[in-house]
Amino acid sequence: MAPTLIIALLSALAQLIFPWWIIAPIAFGVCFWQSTTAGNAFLQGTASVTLVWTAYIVFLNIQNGGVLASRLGELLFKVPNSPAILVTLAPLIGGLVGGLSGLAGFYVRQLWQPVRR
Amino acid sequence: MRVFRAILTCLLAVGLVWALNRPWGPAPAFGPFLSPFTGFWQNAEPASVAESEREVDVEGTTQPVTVRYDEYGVPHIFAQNDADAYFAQGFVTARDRLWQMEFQTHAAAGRLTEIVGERALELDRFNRRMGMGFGAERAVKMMLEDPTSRAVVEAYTAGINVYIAGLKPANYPIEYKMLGYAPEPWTPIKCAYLLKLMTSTLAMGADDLRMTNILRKYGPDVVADLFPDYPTLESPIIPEGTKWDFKPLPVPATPTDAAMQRQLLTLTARSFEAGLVQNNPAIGSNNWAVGAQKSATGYPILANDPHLTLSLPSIWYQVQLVTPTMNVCGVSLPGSPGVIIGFNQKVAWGVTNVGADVLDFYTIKFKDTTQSAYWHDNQWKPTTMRIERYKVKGKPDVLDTVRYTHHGPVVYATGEKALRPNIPTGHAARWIAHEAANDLRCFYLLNRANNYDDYRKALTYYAAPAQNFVFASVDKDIAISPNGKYPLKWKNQGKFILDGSNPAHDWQGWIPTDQNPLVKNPPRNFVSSANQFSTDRTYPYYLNWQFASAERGRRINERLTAMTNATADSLRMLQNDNLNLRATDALPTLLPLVQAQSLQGDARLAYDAVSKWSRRNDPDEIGPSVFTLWTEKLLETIWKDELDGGDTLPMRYPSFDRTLLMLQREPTARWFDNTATPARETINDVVTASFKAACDSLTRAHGPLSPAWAWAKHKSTDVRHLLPGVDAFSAMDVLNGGGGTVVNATTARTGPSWRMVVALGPKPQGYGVYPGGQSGNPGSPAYQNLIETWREGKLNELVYLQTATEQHPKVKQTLTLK
Repeated sequence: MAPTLIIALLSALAQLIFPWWIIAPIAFGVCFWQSTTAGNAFLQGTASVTLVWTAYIVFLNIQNGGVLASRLGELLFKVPNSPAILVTLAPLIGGLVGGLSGLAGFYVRQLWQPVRR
Repeated sequence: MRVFRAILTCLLAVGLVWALNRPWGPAPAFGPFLSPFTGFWQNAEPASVAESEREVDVEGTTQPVTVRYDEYGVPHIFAQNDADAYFAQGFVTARDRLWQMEFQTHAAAGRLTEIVGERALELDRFNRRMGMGFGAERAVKMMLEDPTSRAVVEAYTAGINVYIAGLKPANYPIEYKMLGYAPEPWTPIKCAYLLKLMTSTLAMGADDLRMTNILRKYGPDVVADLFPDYPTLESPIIPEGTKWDFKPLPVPATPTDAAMQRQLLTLTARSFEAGLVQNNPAIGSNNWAVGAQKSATGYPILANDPHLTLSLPSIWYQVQLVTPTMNVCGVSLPGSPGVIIGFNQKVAWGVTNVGADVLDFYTIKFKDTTQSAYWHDNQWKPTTMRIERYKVKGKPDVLDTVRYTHHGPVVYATGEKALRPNIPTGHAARWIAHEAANDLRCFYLLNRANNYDDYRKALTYYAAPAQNFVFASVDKDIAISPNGKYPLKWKNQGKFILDGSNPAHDWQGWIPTDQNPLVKNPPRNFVSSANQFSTDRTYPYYLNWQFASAERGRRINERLTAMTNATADSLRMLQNDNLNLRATDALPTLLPLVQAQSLQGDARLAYDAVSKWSRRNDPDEIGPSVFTLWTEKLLETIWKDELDGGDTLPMRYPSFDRTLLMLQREPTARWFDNTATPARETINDVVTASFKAACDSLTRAHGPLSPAWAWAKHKSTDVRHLLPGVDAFSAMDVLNGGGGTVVNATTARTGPSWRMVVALGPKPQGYGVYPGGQSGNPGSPAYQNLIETWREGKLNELVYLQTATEQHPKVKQTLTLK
């Protein structure tokens, strides 16, 4: 649980200043440092970024009444009046980056420190 | 194994980031675009506008500027001096419309390849070869030589640039994020480009080549017969019989050398490399003012609705500018300082397009293939070169050399039709947009005008695109002037391609500004324009042989003549008048010509519907759908066989006015026969066939005759985003009435881009609306919030504040620039 919160907190702060891909090195670093299994690392990386992106997106989208997400859903997927598509999809893409980076962090760590069972 | 999986996952992670961080074809880079921290979510503005007060620290104002926003997002700018006012106008306009301002000026400058890549190259090349850059450079030089306009443009530029400098990529307008580029600093020449863009929209029509080809194929008698120099039905802008109180300059004589004419026809290419822009008859406008005697208020009331290709972000940007010496309110063009159409305490003004012939093509005979010299006035004269460099997104730069003669740029090479291979010819464009001019000064003065004399003085600075400037003042003066810089021409000079070697074919100077057509306080107590002929045939100078068809102008004049006790609302209702005068003119002739007994099914029903139709282009009527298509098919059926030479011999059809006259008076004219068939078609065959064809295509489009044929649905007005194909940012299928030859001139793509009515008086009251919204951001509630009001033909009261602290129920937000 702790790594998820650490990634979420750090990446939320870092993304205010750095480009979006800062989520990758953060997930990598935290999982390198904290994760105990590959599965955990992937889940923690995915969950943390998805969580942060979802929270912020839901906030912005509600405030906007879904207008822009609806327009872009129509533009990108040809489905009108469905802001939910992007509200769901966008965090998953961020999450995937977090998950893969977390997994990579964990596996790299394994090069130094073999599995403790 | 461990090493392998570590490397593999690292590569996967890096690869994913890389793939998400770059654009794929037209799709944006998905990582930054979908991130809530940097992506489009940042453009998702709150749906409701809360009351707020904000201060922004900016470098560049001398005193604090107060900007008060009303509920429509219109800024009301209160500044202590001119420079601060225009600085703030630049700042707030960029805040709402930055992408649009930059995109439109890039388009005018032929720089779209930098944004969208190679697919824009032909369009860019056309704009540059027409001399848009050449003209803008001359215009900005003159603008900056004049200390007043220099101060205005520089302050406006500084305001835009301060806004851009304070912008983080996360806050870029969404189009930058979609296309993957960043705004560049604004420069004064971009203001000039914007005005050139208007000139290219409104004064780039040229039928010279088409008319020359008709002359070549059918000779001068047919041209004179089918393309007369004045229509049958007309109601000119300057009322017939108005006296010209000036001594005209001698008009140059028409060269009559027949041998020269023949030689020119041989030399002139039958087609140019690229299609010329034909005058778009749907791009026009209405304006009028009723005098104090006609109005219920005892003061003049003025109305204006400029018709353009409707687009989003909205063409116009509403603004009020207040300094100790000015309080002006109206609409501006994003990218140009000041107010273009509007009012102040004392006066109101508006514009419609004139449509004078200010673009001519000259056949140029070069000395040799290097094109370094051309024949003019019996000697070889040197051309100058202008190198155009196109930066193409994702591709190497493209270079293009354009040759300039004293006429202007050689836009088109002739290709294979040259007389002899060693003497290449080309066609040079002489275009008003190439002239140095300081049009901004005109609007600067109008914004501050107190009376008729100020209006007259302001107009002397205006060059192009020539506009019918309508005027009304609290002193109870009304006036209108088809005004601009007009070349002094012989009659019909430029109706056909001109001889670039003959000095008699050059533009011979200019019509003196104070001899431009003008009428002040005419006995009929109103003035008006709708792009029809500027004057009757007594005006001593030649402006053009054709203007927009007269129906809108005639209808406006008919209604204004009858109007008494006019109010702002009566003028608003006239703006929404849907009577189709073309139908009332033509149907009594056309309906009896239809072989009604041969009609079956839908055609029979449609015939009855048109016969019973009110002649109004109201949204639910079926008549206008049938009539509009019918007249299109009719022109095609009559003229296509003789006057459509395709791309190899571009020609054009005669006007509807001329065609109707033929239907009425020359029922056996040779033109009714379809030369492609062995049979000889009669006038009845043609009218009937075109009626059936119209019904067939309606059935194909909408099924059997039903309410699906209703005009609003058939016409299906779209207000489209400037980026082609981005329907998600467009307002599609706006259901309303109107039509191209109707006062409410809404067609499928064009229409009233701004409707304004101003009642003058001790406290002027303005009303207005445009199809869009103040914000250019598709994620803003103010992006297209005015479209419904516009569709219904209603107007909003324009908030006109007197002081920076005035309480007003519609004013919600305050922004202070310090």
